[in-house]
Amino acid sequence: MSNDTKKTLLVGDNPFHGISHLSQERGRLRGNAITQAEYAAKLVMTSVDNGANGFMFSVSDETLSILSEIRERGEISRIRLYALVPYAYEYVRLATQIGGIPGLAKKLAKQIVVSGNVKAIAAGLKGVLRTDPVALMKTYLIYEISRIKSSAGKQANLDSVLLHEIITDMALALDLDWLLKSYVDFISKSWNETWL
Amino acid sequence: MKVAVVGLGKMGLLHASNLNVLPNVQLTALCDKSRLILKFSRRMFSKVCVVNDLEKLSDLDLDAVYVTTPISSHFPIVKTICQKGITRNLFVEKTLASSYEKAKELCELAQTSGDANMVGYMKRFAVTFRKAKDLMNHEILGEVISFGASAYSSDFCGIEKSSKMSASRGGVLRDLGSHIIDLALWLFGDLEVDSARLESMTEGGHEDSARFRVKNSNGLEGRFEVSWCMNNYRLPEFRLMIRGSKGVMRVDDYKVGVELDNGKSRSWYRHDLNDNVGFLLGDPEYFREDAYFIRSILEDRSAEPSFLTASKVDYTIDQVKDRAGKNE
Repeated sequence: MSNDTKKTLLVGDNPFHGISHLSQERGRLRGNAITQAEYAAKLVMTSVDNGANGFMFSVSDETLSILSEIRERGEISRIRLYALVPYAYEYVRLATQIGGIPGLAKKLAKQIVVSGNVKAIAAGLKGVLRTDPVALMKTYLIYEISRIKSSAGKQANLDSVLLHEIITDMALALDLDWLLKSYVDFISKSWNETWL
Repeated sequence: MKVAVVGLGKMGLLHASNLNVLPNVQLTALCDKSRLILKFSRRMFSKVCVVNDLEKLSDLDLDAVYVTTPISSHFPIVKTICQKGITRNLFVEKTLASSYEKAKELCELAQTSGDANMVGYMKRFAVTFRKAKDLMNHEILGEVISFGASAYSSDFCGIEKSSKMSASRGGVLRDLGSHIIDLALWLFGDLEVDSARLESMTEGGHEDSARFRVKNSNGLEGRFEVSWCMNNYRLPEFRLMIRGSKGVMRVDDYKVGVELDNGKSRSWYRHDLNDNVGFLLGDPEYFREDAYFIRSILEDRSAEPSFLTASKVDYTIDQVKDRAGKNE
């Protein structure tokens, strides 16, 4: 979304979730220290000190804690943020534990209501009443962006909100052109309204 | 080919996506009984017929149906599809049924009323396990003496005791253990359960972890450990250690390693084993599995693991539960 042509070197959040794409065992062998917010925040900022200028992360409680930690250190404005939604692994795990897609939808709706985000609640209500999947997608995006905002604060540079590959690949496979189009429309509009 | 998917959970969406990108396949219909899912699916999938009743699939002249509903519903759904002649080619997500008795009945039904049938044991389509099978076929380990097998995940790690979801998924043996049991049957042939121990950590009486021993008529002995309450297994992980007269093989989702007694050893990582697929959603094995089933129908060949092959997993699970009951 940024017009800045300066090259971006991103730090990714996979290790902070205990992920290694070489093998799960390798991820486990790293131990738990790297998943602690304070440790992870230090690692991100050390990377920034050494030439990185962006942090790419799936929106989850863990990564939001890292953003809060960086913000508390007064260093949030030094990095550009690239968010990825949804955090597919966590949602798949939740669906397994709480009753599939309907159970997941109920839990997410409850979280949105509890968050008190009026814009998200209004869009969600419209989506449910009109059976409008576009409105529901907007609700979800408003909710996730508000979570990032409240953790990262006003000084943060949120450069992009990307859709997880599971969603984009599924949308392409199932000819859900409307989903990709309305996502682009929403993000472009939000960008013009300067969401942060 | 016109294909329908019954059950719009995560597995249903995954198979529907894979099928819709395959050449010669048209995703024609989706079927689910959840009102919420139906309501939104009708708005989301404008090119696909969305129905709430299996019988509404009868008029669509379907070449194949995928059943991706919870395990307990496989039996009535497959029975209806066969009896109503909705299609002659059926794919069912694992396990085939919730008991061997029901699985046997579905095998008989499919034999008389259908052509290709297959159960979704996708680990057979993972490159590392395929490599292990190839090495076993070449008898690289000599005579197989024993094996250890494990299937772990963190799906229900730290879950509240009052959770009923583990029960609704059919317990850990059907949900997770069935994959490693299928791999063992594929690699070693028929196995008989010797002793078993089950543990339940949540309400509902379904097992959350299982340990059992097996053997075959040639003296091969095996040991299984299955749990979905393990720490730090963010994705399910399947592993086999096979000991033969000439050495040892270790295989999991990432690597196959062989250490022979003559000092030679070699490892293959999944990256070395041509793990590319035409469309990647979830793991590559899902796409390979769907492409294989569709190809089997087009080429008028039987598909494996067929209902009959897969029913042996249901047989083994029933045996484990039976032995565990006797141990108690």
